[in-house]
Amino acid sequence: MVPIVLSHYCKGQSHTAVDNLSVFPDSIVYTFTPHVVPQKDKEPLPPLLFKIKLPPNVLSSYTSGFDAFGFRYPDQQTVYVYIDYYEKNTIDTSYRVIREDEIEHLLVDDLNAINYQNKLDIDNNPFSATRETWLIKKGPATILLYNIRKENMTRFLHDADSFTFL
Amino acid sequence: MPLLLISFLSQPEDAGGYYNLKGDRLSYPGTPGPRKVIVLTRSSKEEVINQMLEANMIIDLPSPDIIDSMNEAYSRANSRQGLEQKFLVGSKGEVSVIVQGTRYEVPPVENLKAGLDLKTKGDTITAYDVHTHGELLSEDEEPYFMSGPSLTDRKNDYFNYRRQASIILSYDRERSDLGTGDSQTVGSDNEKEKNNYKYVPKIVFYYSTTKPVTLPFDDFCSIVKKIRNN
Repeated sequence: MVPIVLSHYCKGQSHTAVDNLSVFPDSIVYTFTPHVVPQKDKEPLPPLLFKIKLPPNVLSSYTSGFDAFGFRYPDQQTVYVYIDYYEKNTIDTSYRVIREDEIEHLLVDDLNAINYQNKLDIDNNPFSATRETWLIKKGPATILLYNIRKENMTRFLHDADSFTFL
Repeated sequence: MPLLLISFLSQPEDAGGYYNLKGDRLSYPGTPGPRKVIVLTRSSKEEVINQMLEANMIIDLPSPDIIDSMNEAYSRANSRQGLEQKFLVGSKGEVSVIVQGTRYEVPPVENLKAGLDLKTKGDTITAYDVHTHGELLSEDEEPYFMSGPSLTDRKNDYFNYRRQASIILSYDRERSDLGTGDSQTVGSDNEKEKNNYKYVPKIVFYYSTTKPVTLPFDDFCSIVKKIRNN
């Protein structure tokens, strides 16, 4: 468990990195561990800390705010993590996405902060019927394994299952 | 509704229309009359557009005065250590004065001041409001604020009669290219990686309990210009 340090603004904010990508020969491990509890108006909202293991050979990663995370792999294979701070009544699930419409709003609106041109650029990575896309929900987290090569999907699914809130 | 019909007939067919957050004109929702209306999604798929219309996730195309007030609100929030700045936009497009609150709320008396100012400008009905969250911090500081609406923002009674989304002007701290390179671990102990953080101005649209939609403020301004010139 990573401790959250309650920090009052007037005493200065934490200057420590909030995320970390550890590289191992057979995997990567990404952790998101902010130290400050931010507020929305008068309401403190502790950020949701998490850890996820993914396959090696990630090319780049992107984060935005407290809710959008992305990992680019070779050949347009992409892993997204979206943390939903608004929808409370989610049910854990895991299924293969057949129609692009099922994830349209997630991709272009919820994750738009990391889907722009110089980032994961969803406009240049359209949903492919010849690849596989899986959506995994764990509480407020949605993990999208997007346009993964069929031969790699078992590995991605196995690793994505490691997602854990800290 | 004869008056509404006259209003439609008195405008050229192409005077108004629905646009998405890419600035693309949408053909199927019909026309909102002479108004240019932004549906608050980057999607152009009919199903998503209809959901957003039903949820009142729309705003009239902001005028240059409204965009100027947004920039001024950002500027004041930054120069005053994150004290919230707020203004109202009327249904006729008038813009109120910018009022100021504490770091965590705009008190009722300041809201009243903005409402009265709008009325003196002949715009008696508020279409939506705009307020700031937080301020621009140095890139190595963690934010003490979140860009999205608070529960208080979302449960506001005015959504019982307003039909356009409200707006928050804030920032998200972003990080790009946390590349793995040849190192075994990058991140917390790596000064170069620390410097990959940056604060990006974000505009957040929200209507009651519908999930908010966020995009970079600069992109929003470009989209508004594109639609204005369309």
